[in-house]
Amino acid sequence: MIQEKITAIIVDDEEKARNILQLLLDEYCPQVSVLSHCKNVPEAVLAIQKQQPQVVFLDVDMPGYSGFQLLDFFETVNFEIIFTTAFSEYALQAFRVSAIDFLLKPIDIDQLIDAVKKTARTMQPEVYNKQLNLIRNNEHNKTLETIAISTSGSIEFVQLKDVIALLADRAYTKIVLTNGQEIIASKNIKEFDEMLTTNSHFFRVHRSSIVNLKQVLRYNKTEGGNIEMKNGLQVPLTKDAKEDFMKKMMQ
Amino acid sequence: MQTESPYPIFTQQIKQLVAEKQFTEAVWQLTFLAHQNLHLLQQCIEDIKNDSTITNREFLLQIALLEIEQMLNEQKIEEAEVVIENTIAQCNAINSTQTLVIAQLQKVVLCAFLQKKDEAYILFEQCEALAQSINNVETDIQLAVYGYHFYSESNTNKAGEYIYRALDLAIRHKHVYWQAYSLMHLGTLNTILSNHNAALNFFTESFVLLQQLQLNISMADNLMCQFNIFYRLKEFDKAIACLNQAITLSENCGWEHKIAICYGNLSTVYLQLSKFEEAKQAAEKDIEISHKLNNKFNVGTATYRLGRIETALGNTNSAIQLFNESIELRKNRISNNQLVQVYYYMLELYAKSGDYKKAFEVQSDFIRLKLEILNTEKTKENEALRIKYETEKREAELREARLQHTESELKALKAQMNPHFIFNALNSIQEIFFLGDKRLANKHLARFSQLMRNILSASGKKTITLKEEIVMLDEYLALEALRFGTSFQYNIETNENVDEHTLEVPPMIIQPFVENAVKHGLMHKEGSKTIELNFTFNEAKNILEVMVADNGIGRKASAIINQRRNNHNSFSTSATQKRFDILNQLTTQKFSFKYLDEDALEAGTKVLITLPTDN
Repeated sequence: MIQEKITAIIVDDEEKARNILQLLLDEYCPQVSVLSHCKNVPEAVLAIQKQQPQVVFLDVDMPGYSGFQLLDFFETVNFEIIFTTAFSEYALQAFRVSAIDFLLKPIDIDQLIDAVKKTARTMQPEVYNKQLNLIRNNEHNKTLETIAISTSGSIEFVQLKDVIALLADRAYTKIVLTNGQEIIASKNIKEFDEMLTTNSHFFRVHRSSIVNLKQVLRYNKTEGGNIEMKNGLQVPLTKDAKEDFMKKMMQ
Repeated sequence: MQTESPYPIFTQQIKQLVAEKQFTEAVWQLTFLAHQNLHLLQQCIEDIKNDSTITNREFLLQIALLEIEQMLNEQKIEEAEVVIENTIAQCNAINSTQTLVIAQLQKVVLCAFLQKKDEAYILFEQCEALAQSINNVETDIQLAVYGYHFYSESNTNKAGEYIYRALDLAIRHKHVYWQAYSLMHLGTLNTILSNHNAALNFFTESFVLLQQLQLNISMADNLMCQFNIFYRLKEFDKAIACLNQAITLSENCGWEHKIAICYGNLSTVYLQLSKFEEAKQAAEKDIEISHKLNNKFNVGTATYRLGRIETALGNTNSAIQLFNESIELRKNRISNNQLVQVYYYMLELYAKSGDYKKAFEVQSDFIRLKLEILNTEKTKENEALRIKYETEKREAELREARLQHTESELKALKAQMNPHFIFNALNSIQEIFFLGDKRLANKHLARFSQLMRNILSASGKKTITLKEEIVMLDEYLALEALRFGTSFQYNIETNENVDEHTLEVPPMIIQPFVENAVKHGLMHKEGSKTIELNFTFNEAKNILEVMVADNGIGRKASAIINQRRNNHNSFSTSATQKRFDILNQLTTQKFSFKYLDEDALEAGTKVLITLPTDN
């Protein structure tokens, strides 16, 4: 059986990085056919429009225009992007809120093979574009209003204003919503804590819970102190966090 | 509703007021008339201008200001430019500062229309200085409202300051008219900031006041603002209802350009809903009215909308033609953002129609413009971010001041430890390169960089999850295992009651003990080398207990070897002790470690680390 080729372009400002990715693809992902190499965003935009690749390997950290800014050139993205990054907390936040996968450099061969395999599966363009939108928003420093949450098998978009609390469940986190729904996210609570640092409405009241301050009903002094949410949910408040919590509630 | 309102009564009233030299009241009546019937207002103004008995120049200037406002509303830019210059000259001639400020403010608006931002800025500063010199409430309020408009696009913080000042003055001096306006603009500001609920509340509050004052056109403006929110929220039914209501109000008062704008927006909504026939009708209505008003720019915008509709309907050629027309019609005044939108669609259309030469031309324009826009946006965002950052920073500085000293010491210690760790790991990995197995080398390289990332990320944080700490330990030990080969074995065990995802520990707190076990315990040992790590959670005391045990040569023997090699490398231990001391200064709970191998010197080393956890 002849395997159908996946067309791709590689975008990275460093020549060595482009070459090594090409070498890795040639050897371990022969189904990928690289149409061109681009060293910056403008070149990439031209190449994408001209060559219509199925996949774009896109480095995030480039001088001038970051990889994320490529998104500004397309209202809807009808190719799949495999982001690559040599790690920065900043890029991480974008991937966190959008639940989009990425490859870390230097690239691990197994992860590369996995990422390429995933592109072969049919992606849902609408969901994918919604996720990319969250990256765009993050890039433009917009207030974090919606986050994408990857659950077992699907991506859920959650409006932060609808969140009552986030509760730790070992490696998972249970997100309790105002409509009574609960979402089990495959991320631990610390990751949500870091994701939500930019949103002043969320506060880590305990090592196993984060609450939306706007959904707090009252603070009960009994039993060492706990917080009652508007939906009746009760969460404990750590001694160390009490002072900060009270301050935040006063604001 | 007011179409048959008695024109003679209005003019008589106004003329009466003029005769009694009650000019302020007369101007107010005219302003009110503008909201009832635009046509009557225009007639009334004509009459006043033709009446040779009215000679008060101040009043005539006020009339000119009213006229300019109409022109700006209808975007009759060239006309407005002439009248403004003339008015400013006359204000100067009769030394009327109050009128001058308003005329200059109108020029600021004009400059903004013409994209002359620098000139607008200088003028606005002049206005502020002038207003200060005359100390008149009405002027101050107007200045604040214009200030809001001036900054609303570039600096929301500043815009907010101005509009709150306007509201404050209006309430204090009981100017309901300006109160309603300020509330409305607070709504638009909140729209810009995406606080949709707050915006809607402001609009409703403002609408009630406007209704009481019967300011029909402002009510229409208000509804158009509300439309904007519903459109953003994708509540299209409500959006359409707002527009229809605004159209009715504007029709009653004869404000045709406003009707045109409403139809334009209506067209956009219908396009969004893929109701192409309705969208087309609305856009054509917009064109018809704008054409009648000789407003080329609006005709251009409406033509662009038609282009979008034709694009959606797949009529490539007519869409291209419409887009080209829309650029031509809006020449000189089209903003980069609008132009880039047109190019965006034309690009695809040309490519679709097979005209690659044109497509390429448009493409390079598109990219050039887009980059320009991105650059300006970046500057704007950076500015906004900087302001936000600075206020937050100031607060944070105060809060952190007392902890700073100890924490910086802590960071320095962490930095001291990392190089040891890094180079040890690098030593281990070096060997793999000589195995000649590309894939294995790549695997371990990726593993090593993963470990480096984790360490870098962790060293900036106060705490990390126990899981992250354990992953780092595992990676570190895996790299060590690579070095020792099959003789080395390690095991990390966490008891059932340890919730590694929610328990948090200071980063790299356990690693030095493990590194010690390897370096001092196992390095010099022949035969099998093992390290056991055991994590237990003491629920009664709320502490995490970590046991690190190796089967190495024991601490005493290690110390002798190190002495002999003149390499008293107990750095890790002393640095670790110092770190524990500092941590204990920061919290009320106690971090500690103790060696449990005092008596069994020959049989390896065992250390118990006690870490308090939040409850």
